Amino acid sequence: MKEIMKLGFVLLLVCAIAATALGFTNELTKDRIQENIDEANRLARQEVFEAAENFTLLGARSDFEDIEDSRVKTLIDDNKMIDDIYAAYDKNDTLLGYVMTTQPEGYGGKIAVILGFSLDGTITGVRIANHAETPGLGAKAATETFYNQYMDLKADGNIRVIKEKVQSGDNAIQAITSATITSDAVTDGVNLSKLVLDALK
Amino acid sequence: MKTLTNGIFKENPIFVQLLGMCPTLAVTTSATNGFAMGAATTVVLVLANLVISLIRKLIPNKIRIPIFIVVIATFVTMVGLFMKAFTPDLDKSLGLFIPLIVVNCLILARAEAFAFKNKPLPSILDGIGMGLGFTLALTILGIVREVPGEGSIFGFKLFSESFEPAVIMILPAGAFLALGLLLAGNNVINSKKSK
Repeated sequence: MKEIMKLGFVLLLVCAIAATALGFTNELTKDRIQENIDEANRLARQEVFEAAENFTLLGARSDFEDIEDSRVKTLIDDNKMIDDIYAAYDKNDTLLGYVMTTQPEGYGGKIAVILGFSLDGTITGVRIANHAETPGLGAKAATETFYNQYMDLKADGNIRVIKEKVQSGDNAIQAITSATITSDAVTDGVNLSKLVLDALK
Repeated sequence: MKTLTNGIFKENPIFVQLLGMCPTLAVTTSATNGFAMGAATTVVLVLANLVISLIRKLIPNKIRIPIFIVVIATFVTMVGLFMKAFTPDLDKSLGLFIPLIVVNCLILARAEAFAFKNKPLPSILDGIGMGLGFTLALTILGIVREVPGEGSIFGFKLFSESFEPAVIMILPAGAFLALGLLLAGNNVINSKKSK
């Protein structure tokens, strides 16, 4: 009995020291990590909608209660994949389209897909922000060769994933070799654009 | 000095001891990934070896393994957080595998077999040596898989567009193939030496 108490105490002590060290590290790095994420997201918004000058947040899941537009609120409530929606304006404050973040389930967890689409129903760009896909395979979704395929496709909710080369005029993208799950997931995220366009008409 | 070079050649963790196979097979889809994984593991290995060696007299024998794990997990989490904060690009390509360093039996094995029984300085040297050996092996494995599998090395394209890469080499099966071939090669060299 005495020995068990002693062993337990030593283990507790080691864990307490470890927890303190981790607490300090977290304190030291958390602002920087948040900044990195915010900055990456801001750049991504500009990249997926080059024609736009300003972006205003319409609603985000993290601040669900604060969403003013009831249509946006329903959209985010009904579609678990949608994380946030921004409106994209040109310099004269004319609405051009929307930029949103979707979180489809990939092979290694959620993939943050940022996409822009204009009011006439054209995809203006797609970027992959955070993901945990397999390096060398699914992680290729974050390369230009893959995500540039979505540019100028129709936001009709029907973009398909095919294995062979895409013929011009097809509303489809070519899957990453050996990473169909990732390709499908990203496309699911992009296809939500139609819902948003319909709901916010 | 011998403690240092032991890990690189004579007792190379991958080619001779076959330790830490899980991250070895999983991340070596490219030379860069292999190298970065090796570097991150080396940092954790050196720090864990040092701390365990320093407190080795205070650790009761019966609960040494849980204590090793706590020490290792703490350093892995720290490395992971620092990578997220200061090298976000690297974190993007390796993020998934960093937490796996905790269960890399190479680190636990060195804690148990070396750091727990030796003074801090030799333990650091052992960590550096084993870490370098691990990094070297992972980088070679990455090169062997990336060149045929992607037609590139450290991300630089080697061949013209017409090159059709053998994708199997960057798939899990290719990891076993490449590792088997490298181990066979290593055995040939060793048996020639001993003759």
